[in-house]
Amino acid sequence: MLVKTTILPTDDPPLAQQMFRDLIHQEAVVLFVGLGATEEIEKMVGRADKLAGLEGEPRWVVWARKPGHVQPVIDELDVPAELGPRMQGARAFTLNFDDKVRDAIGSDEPEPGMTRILLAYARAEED
Amino acid sequence: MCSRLCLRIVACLVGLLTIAGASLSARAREVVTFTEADLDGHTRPVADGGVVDINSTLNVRTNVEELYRQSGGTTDSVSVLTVLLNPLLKLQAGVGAGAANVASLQEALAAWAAAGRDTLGWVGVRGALRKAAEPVAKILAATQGTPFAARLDQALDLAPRTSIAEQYALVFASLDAEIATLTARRDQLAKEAGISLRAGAWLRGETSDVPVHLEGFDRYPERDEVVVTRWRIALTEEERRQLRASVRFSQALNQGDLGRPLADGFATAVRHLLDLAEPCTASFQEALVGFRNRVGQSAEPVKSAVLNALEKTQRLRTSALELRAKYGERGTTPSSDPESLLLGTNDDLVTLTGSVGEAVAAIQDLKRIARQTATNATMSAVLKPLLDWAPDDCTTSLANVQQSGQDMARQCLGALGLRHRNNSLLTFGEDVLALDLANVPVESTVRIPRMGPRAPGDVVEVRLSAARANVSPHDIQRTRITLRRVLPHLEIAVGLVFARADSSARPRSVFQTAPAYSILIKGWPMRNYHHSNLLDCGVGLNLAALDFNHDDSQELGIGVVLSGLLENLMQVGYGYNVKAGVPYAFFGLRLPLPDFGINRPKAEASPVE
Repeated sequence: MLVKTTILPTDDPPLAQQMFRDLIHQEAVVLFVGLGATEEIEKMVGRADKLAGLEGEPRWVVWARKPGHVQPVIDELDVPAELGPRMQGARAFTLNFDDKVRDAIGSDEPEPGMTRILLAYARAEED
Repeated sequence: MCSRLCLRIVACLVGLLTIAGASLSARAREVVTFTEADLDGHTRPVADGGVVDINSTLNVRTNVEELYRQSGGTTDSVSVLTVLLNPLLKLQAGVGAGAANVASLQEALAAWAAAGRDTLGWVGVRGALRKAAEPVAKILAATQGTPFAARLDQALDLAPRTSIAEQYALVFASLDAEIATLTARRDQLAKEAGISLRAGAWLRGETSDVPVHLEGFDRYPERDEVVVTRWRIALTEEERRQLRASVRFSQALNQGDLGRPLADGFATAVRHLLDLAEPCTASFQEALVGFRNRVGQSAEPVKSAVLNALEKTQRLRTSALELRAKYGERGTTPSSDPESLLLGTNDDLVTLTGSVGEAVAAIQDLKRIARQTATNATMSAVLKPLLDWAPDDCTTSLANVQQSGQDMARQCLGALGLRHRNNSLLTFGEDVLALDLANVPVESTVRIPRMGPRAPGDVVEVRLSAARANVSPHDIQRTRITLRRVLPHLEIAVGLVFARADSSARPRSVFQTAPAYSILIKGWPMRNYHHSNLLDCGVGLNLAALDFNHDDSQELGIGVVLSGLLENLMQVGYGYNVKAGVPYAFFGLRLPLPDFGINRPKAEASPVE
């Protein structure tokens, strides 16, 4: 069961965008953003939720099952140049407390296990 | 023209960079590295061929990665484990206070929650997260796709939902556990393969190699601490002798008889050696001629050994007679320049000591063969005089002659600023431990002051040898570090000065040879860590015994002096003749004035109080 994950609506793009923006800009958390609706992505989001820690700890997961709906919000994000290519078709990325993208799990990477997801969190938190 | 020059300069720079790169990579491959800690509190890395101060301590650090790589071969399971383990060890060393940071994070999160997650507490949480996350990110980034990451994946999957701090703590704990497991497996495999390491340290002087204590690697005791005095102005006995030799030499020079004092001294010493050797040589020859006549019917090996001993003894006698003719009272001793004289005499001494060694070895062979051949009563009766012959006292005398000759030969080279290089392979003593690789100390120390008496130019050599079952031991490192007086110190240089009175203060220019000595400050302002002492400069005070008015009454000259080149070989300065009241300019030479028959002493040393 996902306890620290917000699943964005798939039938209302403006609402999904609004919710996504709010989570990014209003909440002081490290955000793990899962993109897609495959079984693999579902598994990844489950792991990320578990690694989001205990209640009240500053990690949160957003799951955009239809990434195209929130692409305009993603395009607004501050992405370092070295992560630019990996963000194309990424399966997930993390945002730090200042809403900057700090890691991206690219489509060419193996299925992300717990350590890969924890690395994404750690990269966002070390900054 | 310019472009060609530019190309050459670029080629030189590329060459230098290549050499520097090679040197760096060579250093990276060293199993143990050395850092000098000197008496003034400075530390600096030292590589093979480097120079350290004669009173320093060498801190030795073992590069565990290289140790296993070089001693465990390249293809076996020990090496495979080493390849897996070493990156983890580097990570562990690099993460620093990882566990402490996790504890801080835990405290910060608890305090923040207790304060109702207020803004003030948030600042502390963010700082603690940053500190804890940084090493975790390093570890996870470096281990993606490795067996370690797979095991950690599994552990995190199986664990219940935990706090961020606990997740990070698990990463550190898993890394430690992985390292412990791999280390234990590797050490066990290395033990089963019989891999061991021996490391020994020696102080290599001109004439001897003394094994010295390398902490953790041997059972040698440390000696009493002996610090080579840095601030000394009193002349040692050796320097007083040199000064007396300088007086004689300057008198000879002023009389125009260059080289005679050296030649006379050497000739006297050689005659003394020959006087020692002569009775033994004669008695050997006499006895051997008797044996030759007696053993005509005996076994062939004895006959050959007698003839061989006779030939070697005859050669020694001929050599001795030739030298006596050359260096006798009315001999043909050359009286040319000191260098030719000393090099010539060195050759003569090498010939003499070589002949002595051959004769003694031939006689020892003869005795051994006679003992082996006397297996029945008849043969024992034939060989009885030979078996009863006891030339031991005489061979001891000849061994002393050989030793004295070798000492004199070394002095000839030493007087020319040359030094006998002792490069023979050192063998480990029984007190050097054969250590399992797991027990090799990571840090060790070589305390040079606890090596006993030593002299500038001596070398500290460290040899590492790895062995494994059924394979001959092989050296994995030999490091030689030369001892010099590098830190600021006073040095006394005895020699001659050639003084020329200031013509403006004296009607006639005077140029005179005089014995003198200088007290020089060395190692200041610049320290010379170079192997060569070519530019080892010093500045100080020069005191000379002048006689400007040729009345045979000595006049004290005091001057400032600048010294340099090869152990104060050249000095220049400006002084003042106190009695005559005349200033003078001078240059000085530390001429080769060996003292044949007396061993050159080690550097002046005093026990530490």
